[in-house]
Amino acid sequence: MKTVVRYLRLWGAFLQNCLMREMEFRSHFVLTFIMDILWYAVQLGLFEVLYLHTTAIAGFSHADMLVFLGTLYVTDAIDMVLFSSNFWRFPEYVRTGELDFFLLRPVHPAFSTMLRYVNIPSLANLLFAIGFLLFAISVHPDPFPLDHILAFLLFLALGTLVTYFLQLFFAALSIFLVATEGIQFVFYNISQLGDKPDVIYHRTFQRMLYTIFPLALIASVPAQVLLGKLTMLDIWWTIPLVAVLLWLTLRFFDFALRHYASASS
Amino acid sequence: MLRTYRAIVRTALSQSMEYRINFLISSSLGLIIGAAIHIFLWNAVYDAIDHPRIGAFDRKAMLFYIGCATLCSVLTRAYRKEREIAAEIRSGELNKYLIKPFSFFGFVASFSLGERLSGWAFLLIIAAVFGFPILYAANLSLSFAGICAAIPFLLCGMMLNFLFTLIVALLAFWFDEVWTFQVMKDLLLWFLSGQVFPMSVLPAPIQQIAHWLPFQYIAYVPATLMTGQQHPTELLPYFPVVLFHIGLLLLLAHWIWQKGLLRYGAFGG
Repeated sequence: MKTVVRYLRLWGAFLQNCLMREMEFRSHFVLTFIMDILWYAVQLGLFEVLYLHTTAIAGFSHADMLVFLGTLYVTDAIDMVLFSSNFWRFPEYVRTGELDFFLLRPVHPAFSTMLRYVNIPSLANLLFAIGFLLFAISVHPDPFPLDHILAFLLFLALGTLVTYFLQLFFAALSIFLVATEGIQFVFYNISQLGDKPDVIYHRTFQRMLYTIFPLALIASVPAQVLLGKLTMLDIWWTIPLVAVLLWLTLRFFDFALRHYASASS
Repeated sequence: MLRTYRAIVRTALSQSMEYRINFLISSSLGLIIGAAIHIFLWNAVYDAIDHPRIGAFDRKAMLFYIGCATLCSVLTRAYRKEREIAAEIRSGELNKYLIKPFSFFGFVASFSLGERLSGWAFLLIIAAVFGFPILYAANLSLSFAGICAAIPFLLCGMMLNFLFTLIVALLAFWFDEVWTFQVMKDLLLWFLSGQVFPMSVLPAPIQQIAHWLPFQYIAYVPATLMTGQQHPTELLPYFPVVLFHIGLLLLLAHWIWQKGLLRYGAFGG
C-alpha cells in the first residue's frame, strides 16, 4: 500500500511538471485538441457514410455504433493522456542512452518511462470523449442497467491495462532492435484493428484479438458489455488473462533491460 | 544542372536503403492491415443489406476497390524528406541548402523521388506477392488499359501528397511544432481520398464537391481505373483539373517559402 501511495505521489509530481510545461506552449494545447477532435470526426464520418446504406453492421445499429465510438474515444483519450507520448519517446531513450537516467532512479522503469509525461491537452479530449459517450447513451433507445455500467467501468480499466502492457511490450522490443521508428509504426498499424468492433472480423481473427493480441479488450469489449451484447459470464476469463499477460510483459521488459547496452555517456 | 539533381536522386536512393527494414515493415503492415480492416468492415455491411449492390458496387467489386485504393494511397503517400524539412527549419539546418547552388524545391523533389523509387519497388513486390493469389482465387482481374491510365493519375496523386506535406512542413517558419498539422492533413486525406469508401457512395451533392477537390486523385480515381469501375475516357476530362491543382499548390508552396524565408533567422545549423 505504501508503495502504491509513493507511486501515486510521484505521478502527481509528473502531472504538475507537465502542466507547468504546457502553460508555456499554449498553441500546442489547442492544436493537439483540434487534432484529436479531427480523428474523432473522421471515425464518426466513416460510420455515417456506411449507415447511409445499411441499418446495422455486424449486429450494431447506428445507436449501438455511437456507443462503441464513444467508448473508443474515451479509451483513446486515456491512452493519449497517460501512455502514448511516453511510448513514442521510449525508442529515443534507448537510441540516445537517456534510458540510463531512468534506470538510476529508485522506481521501476516500467513506471517511470511509460508514465513520465502526462499529455495535458488530451485531458480536454478526454472530457470531450466522455461527453460524446454520455450523449450516445442518452440517445440510445434501450436503457442501460447499473450492472452493465459497473461491468463497463471494470472492463474499461482492464482495457487501459491492455493499452499499457501492449505499448510496454513494443517499447521492450525496441531495446533489442534499436531501429526506432519501425517498432512504433508496427504498433500503430496493428492497434488500428482495435478501432472497429471485433464482430466485423473473421472468427479466427477475432479469437486472436481476444487472446494473443487482445486489442478487442480495449474498446470493443467494454462497449459490448455496456450494450448488453456480452455478459460477465461470456468474458470473465479475460480478467485472469490480462493479469497473466501483464505479468509476462513486465518480465519481458525486465529481461530486455538486462540486455540494454547504454548508447552514450 | 540536371546532373546535380540526378546525383541527389542517387544519394536519396542509397540512403533510403538504410531504412529499408523500417520501410518494409511500415508499408507492408499499412497496406495489409489497412486493406484488411476496411475489407472486413465493408463485408459486414454487405452481410447486413438485402440487396446485392451499393451504388455501382457489388460485394466483390467493393472489396476489390478497397484493396486497390489502399495500395494507391500507400503508393502516393508522403515520405521522410518532406516531413524532415520542418525540423531542419527549426534547427537552422536549412542553412546548408540555402548556400548551395541549386533550387531548394528542386532538391526536395529530387530527394523525395529517390526515396520513392525504392519504396515503389518494395510495395509493388508486396502487392504482387499478396495480391495476385487473392485475385486468382477470387476470379478477379485488373484492367490493363485501366492500369495504364491510372499511372499518370498516381504520379499526380504522389505530387499532390508531396506538395500538401511540403506546405505543412513550411509552416515551421511560423510554428514551433507542425507535426499536429501533418497528422490533421493525413486524417483528411485518409477520409477524403477515397481510401476507405468510393466517392460514388456519397450523397450526390457531396460527390459534386469532391470532384472539384484534389483529394480524390490520391486513391479514388486511380483505384476505379485499376478495377475497371470507370473507363479511362470517362476520367480524361479530369486530367487538366488535377494538373491545375498541382500548379496551384506549387504556387502556394513557393509563396509560403518566400514569405517564410523573410522570417527565417538562420540560427544554428
